[in-house]
Amino acid sequence: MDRLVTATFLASDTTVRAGQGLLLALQLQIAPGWYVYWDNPGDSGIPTRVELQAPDLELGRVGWPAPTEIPAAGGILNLGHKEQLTLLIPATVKAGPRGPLELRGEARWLVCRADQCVPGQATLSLDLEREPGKPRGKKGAAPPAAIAEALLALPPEVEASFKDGELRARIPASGPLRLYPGFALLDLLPIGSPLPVRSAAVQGGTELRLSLSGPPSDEAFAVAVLSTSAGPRAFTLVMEPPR
Amino acid sequence: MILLSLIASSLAASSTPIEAGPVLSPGQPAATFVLPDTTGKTHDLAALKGKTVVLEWFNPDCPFVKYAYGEQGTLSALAGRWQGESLVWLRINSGAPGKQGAGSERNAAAIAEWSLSGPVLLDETGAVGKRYGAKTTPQVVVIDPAGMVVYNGGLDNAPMGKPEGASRLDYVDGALTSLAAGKPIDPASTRPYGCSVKYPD
Repeated sequence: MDRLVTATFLASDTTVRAGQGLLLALQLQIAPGWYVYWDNPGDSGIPTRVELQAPDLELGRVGWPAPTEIPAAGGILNLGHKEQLTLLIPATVKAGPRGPLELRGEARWLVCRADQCVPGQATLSLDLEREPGKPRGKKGAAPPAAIAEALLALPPEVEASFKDGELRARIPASGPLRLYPGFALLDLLPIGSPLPVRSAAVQGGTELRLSLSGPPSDEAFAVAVLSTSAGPRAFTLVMEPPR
Repeated sequence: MILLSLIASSLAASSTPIEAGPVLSPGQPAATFVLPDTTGKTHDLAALKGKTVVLEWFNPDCPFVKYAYGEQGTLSALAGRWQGESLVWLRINSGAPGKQGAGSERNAAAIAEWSLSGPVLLDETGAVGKRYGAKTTPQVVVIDPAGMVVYNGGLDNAPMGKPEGASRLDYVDGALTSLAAGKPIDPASTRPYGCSVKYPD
């Protein structure tokens, strides 16, 4: 059998300077008919995860594309990705001596089709070169195509706030809405009941309210997908100012 | 005549293993059921009143179940530690015939392979699984001696031994410990992880 998942780990830049921002990417190529899971896998499965040991980098929140709904027999609904999934991890280079900057880590996933699941993992390793001087600004070489494409697939961020037990956000699009809470929000939501979400059309978009049992963490996020007259549009609701 | 009534009762048992109703969550009375195990022997939940009953959704070909029984053995150890006079551990396979890990033959082989000391009940229509809201293998429901559902959710917070979050939480062990001590179970509901239960299409 061919490999079900092929993992590639790459960075937007190979030479970096202290203070510079860069993007790391985990790309999973998935065999036809199979899927891996989103940050919140839905009714079953486990999330795809990447863990990095990178003492020379400050790592940000993982950027996820909008999930695809994958129904199974018995009313089970999963959230996942078919064909390919690229996770983007923003990073900032810390100050340190010139020389190789080592990135080591592990990616884990569960790859499934309707009748079976297979856990997988990959060891991640990447060496960047740290050179002296200040960041060069935006004039560096273009990032690899995989990263450029993943950036395009990343839903634009919308800042959400938490007040009176509700996460609130104003989304600049109109239409019927599906909300997918990320894993970090699941503990604040009821289990096995419909999502306590309300949305209302407002001037220039949609106002969304999601009842939570407590304040969300800074890393918490949700993806809202709206069926607009121009097709589906996804947005990532974040708890911090958009980056 | 005895043979005839036996056939009639086994037919009745297999066509309506459980009364229809909404999904059961903690705090609700457990719906009783009658299900056959891999040897054809039927098990009636109503007959277990007065005991704590653990229902564990099972699929011997699910990697999470294999991990828990085969590679790591945590679930064998957990069941072994708690099973006894006052606690019955029932594994339930709600897989439809022909689906992964389903059927008496495959489950009887798993009992032998992992030296399981209890039965595997076959819920081929999926009616019992759906009534208890079983979505994954493993997923665990705990019923107290009074017949109330007191826990429904995951085994722990650590798929394949990797905790989601800062530390490992063994939810089922915690629930059984609290129940034995007469303390409230917290959390009483968790999100289970694992393979989807292979219900009929």
